[in-house]
Amino acid sequence: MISSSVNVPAIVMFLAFIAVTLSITWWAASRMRTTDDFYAAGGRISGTQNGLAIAGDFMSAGSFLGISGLVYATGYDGLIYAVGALAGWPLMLFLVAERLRNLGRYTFADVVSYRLSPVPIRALSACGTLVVVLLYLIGQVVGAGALIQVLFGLPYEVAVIVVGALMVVYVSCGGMIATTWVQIIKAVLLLLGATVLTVIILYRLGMSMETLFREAAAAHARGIAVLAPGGLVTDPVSAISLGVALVFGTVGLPHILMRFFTVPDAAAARKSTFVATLLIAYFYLLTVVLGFGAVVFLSNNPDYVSEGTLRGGNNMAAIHLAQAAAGDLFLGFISAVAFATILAVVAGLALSGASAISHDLYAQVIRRGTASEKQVFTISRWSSLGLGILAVVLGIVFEGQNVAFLILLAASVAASVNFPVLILSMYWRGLTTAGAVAGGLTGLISSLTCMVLGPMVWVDVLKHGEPVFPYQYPALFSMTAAFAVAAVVSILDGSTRADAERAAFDRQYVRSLTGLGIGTASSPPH
Amino acid sequence: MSRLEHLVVQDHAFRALQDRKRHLIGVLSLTMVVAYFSFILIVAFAPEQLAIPLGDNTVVTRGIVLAFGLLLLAPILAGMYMWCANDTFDPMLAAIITRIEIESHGTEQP
Repeated sequence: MISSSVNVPAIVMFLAFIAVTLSITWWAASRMRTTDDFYAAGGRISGTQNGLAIAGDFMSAGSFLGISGLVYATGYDGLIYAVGALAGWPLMLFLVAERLRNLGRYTFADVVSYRLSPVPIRALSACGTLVVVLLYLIGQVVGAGALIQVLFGLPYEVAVIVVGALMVVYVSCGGMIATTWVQIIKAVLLLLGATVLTVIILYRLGMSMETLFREAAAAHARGIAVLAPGGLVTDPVSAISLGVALVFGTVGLPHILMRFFTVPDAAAARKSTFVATLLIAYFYLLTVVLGFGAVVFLSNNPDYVSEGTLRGGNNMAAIHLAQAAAGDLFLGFISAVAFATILAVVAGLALSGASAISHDLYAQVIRRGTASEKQVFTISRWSSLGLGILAVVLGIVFEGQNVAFLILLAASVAASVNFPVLILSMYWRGLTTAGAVAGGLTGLISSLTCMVLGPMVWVDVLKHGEPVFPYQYPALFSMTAAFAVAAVVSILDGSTRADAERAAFDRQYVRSLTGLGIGTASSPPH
Repeated sequence: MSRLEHLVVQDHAFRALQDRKRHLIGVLSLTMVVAYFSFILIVAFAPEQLAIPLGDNTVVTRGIVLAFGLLLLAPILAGMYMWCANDTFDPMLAAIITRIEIESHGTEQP
């Protein structure tokens, strides 16, 4: 039974993880000579390594604990969520991976501003990146603080400060090299831990999925209905809107898009995405099985359930299961892995935010390309510190809040701002700067506004009676609006600048498909 | 646009290759999107269909099989494209570019 007392094996293991990752950061810092190294690991990451790192970035503690927790609570609904979160990955491969790699250097803003005017486009992309990053960060940090508080007995504020401090060290000292290897290690540990736990669970159920489901149906309050959809998706509009946020939001996540620049060529970018898709699919399979396992082993177990609710909330299901099925040592391991997962993801987010501030906002928008590499580099370090402090402060402010909606909001913004602008710039000759900016801003404002006016915030948090915007998930509307506005404004744009931008499409087209003449992170442009 | 790029974008073989690639991408993307959103619409409109067990002596529902199937579909589709693009399309593209480079140097007589 987990109390808020100190969990020694877990602390030992997470101190070991911190020691290993800090030494990697020190090693990475010694290898870091250029901005190419800082933002893109010098372009020397292999396809498989990058696949692991990308999967690591995506397999957050939120998805591991959240999806197993959702399965524990209502059963099949967790599967619905998992399927949606995975479905965007093939699209990432088909539509984005290789073209992104061929067109950009450090951030997706490089790609969007390839033929469009850099200052407004980079300002927009940086905004889209920072909003998504901050929302995601707050969600991760608040979850981290609560988790660490329960697992390791640390006070909430201390936990948040520790996470923030480590995040700053990883990013400012080790850049993309450090964050990549931290992600890879964490991904391996997470997949290993989840696999072992799944095997143990299935072993105890006679290696039979049939038995797993049968026992889960017997143990769960909902009975046999646990194997079919519950109340997650009630009306078709919400269903599709949630799907849109999950599928297209994935393709627009800035910290994931950044990783495509760490590999040397398009073939490696494709391999990365395939490997990531495979690992994430496997991971979700495990997570769902673990969720049902938690139903079997925890539901009627007085050690973990008091008055019908799971101790620490549904998100603790996988953690409790580790202890119930495999003892305290494994509990320690899973706790340490959960902590590692949080750290790795916030580091990736912080790097993405820092690069948007330094490479996009500072270098191109504020200094208009006149800043030296050294100056941009310094700004990126200060930005990561700033983001760390901001994350800690906001994490403390939001303590105890239900932050699930923040992650969904981040996905909705990514789907409504980053995705439309990126896809249109790569595939549609007619996109102009004015159209991109108008569409992006439309997506940003509409997704944020509709979320605030919707049931999750307006009613649940702000305690009004009726929501102004009737649907839980705004993504369908905000993304459609973004595409529509971008198209209309672009078509109506008759300026000479717009004509030049349309004419430049052919050049971009060839480069995006062939990689001819681009500057990779390991060889300069020619 | 450099001369080489100019030549490439107008080359017939290049365009044919891009058409093949675009076709494949279109089919695979559509498959994934249609599969997923059909699933979501079933969940929204006819969830009771997903609750039906596969047979008399099992509790496993159609919904579970469908969802697990989608989890498998994603990496399968991804793998198909990756192997096609990396092992077939990329070498073809490299050959086209090499040929164009040789031809263009051949026409630049000193």
